[in-house]
Amino acid sequence: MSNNEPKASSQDITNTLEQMNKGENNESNQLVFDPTTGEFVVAKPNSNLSADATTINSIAQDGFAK
Amino acid sequence: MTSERLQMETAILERYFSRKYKFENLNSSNAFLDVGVKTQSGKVYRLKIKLSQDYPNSLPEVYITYPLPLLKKDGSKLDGASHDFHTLGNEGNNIQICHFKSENWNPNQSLYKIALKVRIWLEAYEGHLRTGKTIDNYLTS
Repeated sequence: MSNNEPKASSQDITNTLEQMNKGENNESNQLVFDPTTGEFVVAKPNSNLSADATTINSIAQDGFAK
Repeated sequence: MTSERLQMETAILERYFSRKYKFENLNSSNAFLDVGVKTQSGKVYRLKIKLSQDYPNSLPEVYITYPLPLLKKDGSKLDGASHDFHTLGNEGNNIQICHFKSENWNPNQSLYKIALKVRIWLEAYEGHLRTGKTIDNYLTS
């Protein structure tokens, strides 16, 4: 992941979460946690993510207890 | 928690939450990890992740300890156990929130991953504050 990826907005994050929750396949940009800033950034489709990149999908896809 | 495990957890936290965490009361029945988390909007929260004697074999309890109380969009207090808001109850004013499902927890997970799960819960909470939709609109069960 380069340092040039734009910061995601709060709405980007909740929109992504809501789509995942509805089971809608999100083929658009991925949201990736940038440990250097502590923020989620928007990674373009097909961009080369580092092996230890943490995407929002990988955090949320196994669900939350309730 | 063994010293080897503590070393591993510390190494990961230092990489992803550098200078934003502190272990408290280690080697006691009141051990916990205090973590500061900043959401995408810039708001700061503090978490208390309880570390039972048999951690990492059991799923830790997580509480929001700052700011308190957490409020809903309508101004009422976020309180008690709620399916709609993915909360489990209270410890005083601290609200206990849901994170990992117990069936998805195993000793290969880490405190860092719990903090990221809670970060997502907080983003969903702020989504609720913006839109009024309950947190379960955002979080997969």
